[in-house]
Amino acid sequence: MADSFQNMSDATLDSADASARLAASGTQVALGAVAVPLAGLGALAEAGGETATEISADLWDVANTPLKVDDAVVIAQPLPEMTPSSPTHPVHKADPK
Amino acid sequence: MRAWIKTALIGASLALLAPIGAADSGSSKTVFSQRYTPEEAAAFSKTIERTLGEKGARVAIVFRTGRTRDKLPDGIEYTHGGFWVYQAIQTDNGDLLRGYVGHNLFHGDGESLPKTQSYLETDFPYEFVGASAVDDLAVIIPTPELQRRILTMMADGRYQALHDPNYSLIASPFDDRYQNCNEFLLDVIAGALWETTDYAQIKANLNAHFQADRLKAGLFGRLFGPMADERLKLADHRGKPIYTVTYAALANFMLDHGYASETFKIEPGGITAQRS
Repeated sequence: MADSFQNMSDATLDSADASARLAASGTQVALGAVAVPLAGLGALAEAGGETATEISADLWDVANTPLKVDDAVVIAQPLPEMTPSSPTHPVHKADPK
Repeated sequence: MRAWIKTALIGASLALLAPIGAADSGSSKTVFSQRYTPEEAAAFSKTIERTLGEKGARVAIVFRTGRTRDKLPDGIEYTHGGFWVYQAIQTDNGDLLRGYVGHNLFHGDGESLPKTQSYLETDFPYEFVGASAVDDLAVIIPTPELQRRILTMMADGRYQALHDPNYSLIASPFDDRYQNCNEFLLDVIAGALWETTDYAQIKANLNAHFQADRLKAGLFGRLFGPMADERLKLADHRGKPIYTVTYAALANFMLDHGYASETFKIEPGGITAQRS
């Protein structure tokens, strides 16, 4: 997510390293968090403490009223390691005769 | 001799163009600038989130610069902007957290995707703030009605439909050939304002109503831009001065026409400059 000119800078820190340092510092972090897709608008409303299940006028009646933000610092999931645990393609063996 | 002159000219053009970070949308690789330690970035990101939450902003537009200001052209303060949406965030143990999620246009890293192509991706405030090279970020809070329209576009696919993957660092907001992160923000806002995804109509409307910021690129830059950086495209400027979308231009447009509730700059200590 870096501005690409930063890639030329000496003073940079990889995201994974920064996240590891943050987690080690004792800061409350949420590892492995993902944004709930906005198509699930019910979840959005629920997160706001409301019961609306879609974006409606009712939901927006409360716009510009305070919204609660949780304390945990959300850290993106690291790239998954892809270690093959089984052959990708089935192995066809000749029928024993 | 001729080769030496050519090398010198290209070198000069690179030097001139290097500061043009008007809307450097960033690549997929998250890099912390080390302006802030991880702990400071975490605390600052929460300060911004809580500030937005206290103001009831479900959608905000947030800008940062990944380069220090001495490396940016006059008048350019920030190199990247994205939507921050108040959104449910699910942890790996199933809990739902309340906070903001960044919705960004990033350009390719040159490996998995060419740098001249872009894609849409979400991130979190901690990463967004960690990439800042300076003390401050800037925020625009759209009016509640505009927030509602943007959020609806994100949910029903019209937001994604306005993404043009052909990337230019200095994309013209008045031409449909290229797009960068800031022009994408403007296109989505325009789509929400005029309630259309007709891109030709959006460009026509912006030509009529939006005042972009003019960039100062020297003659060498104009001549050698595409050679210096593949992300610099000049064709969409049609030989005219280079105009592009900046935080200041977007903030002025939205405030002047009543599309934003307020704009402010924010540092770890709080809001430093505010207009409404």
